[in-house]
Amino acid sequence: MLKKVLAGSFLVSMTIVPFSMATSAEAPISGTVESKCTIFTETNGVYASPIASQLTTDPADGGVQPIIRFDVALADSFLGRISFPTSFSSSPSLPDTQDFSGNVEVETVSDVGMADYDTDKTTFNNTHEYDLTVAGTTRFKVSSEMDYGDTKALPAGNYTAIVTAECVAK
Amino acid sequence: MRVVIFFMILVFVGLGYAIKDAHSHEMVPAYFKLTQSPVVNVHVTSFKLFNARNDVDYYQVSVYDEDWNRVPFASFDRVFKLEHLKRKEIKVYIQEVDIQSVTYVCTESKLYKGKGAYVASRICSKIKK
Repeated sequence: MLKKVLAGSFLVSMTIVPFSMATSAEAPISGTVESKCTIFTETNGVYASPIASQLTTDPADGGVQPIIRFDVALADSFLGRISFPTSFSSSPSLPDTQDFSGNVEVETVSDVGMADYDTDKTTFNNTHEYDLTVAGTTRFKVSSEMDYGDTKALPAGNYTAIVTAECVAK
Repeated sequence: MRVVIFFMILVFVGLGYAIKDAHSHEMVPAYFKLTQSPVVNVHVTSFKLFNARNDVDYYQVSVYDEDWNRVPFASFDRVFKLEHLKRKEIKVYIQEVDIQSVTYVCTESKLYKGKGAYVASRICSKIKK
């Protein structure tokens, strides 16, 4: 069986090689890498409810933190802004106060030059702004927590909150 | 033979993982120029958008000045449908009176309420001066 596979592979390669040699001069492959920023939504978050009055994405409590990846093809040209939610986009009726909190942190980097992204970031309100000074890939993890009322139990239903990821050319 | 099958499985698993992993929003160019359109006193610029987010079908275009105030613009694709793994060229038209204030053109993903998309993505290109 192995002999047949090897013989088949040899025949295929004999067919392909002359064909590719004959056409390589006439059909060159060309490409351009444009200076761009691409946002990847790698993981959608999931809220867990460790106590009746709280929703959290903390993995220690059974939640899942959203992971957002920024790919930057040109160094020092983009700002990455990530905002954790401050309200639900859909939920059951919640007449009591909702206390949202959250954080954004670098999860992984593709270049050692990105090591200081967390310490150099600017934070305003619920938005964390990163100066993407190095070309490459950066993954960010977002945490979100909501405490309801004065430790009141959250009504049953589906809760959805939106994380915003933004890449702005400088 | 077992080695061949093993490598084939590895390739298929890797390919499947790569496709599953591709949930991206991409827009070029990062820096744009306004040029005269066929219409008098109207300038135009164009962008290419690629939707690799399988949880997003619609995008919205918006134009801002340097202080992030909205700038009036016209486009056939102000809010447009872009299916998964499709590309689209968008043209944005700006009046001559506004071209000095135009700084950013952004595309933003539109999420379905309760469909399961919990990350809104926005990419903004900047005018090349």
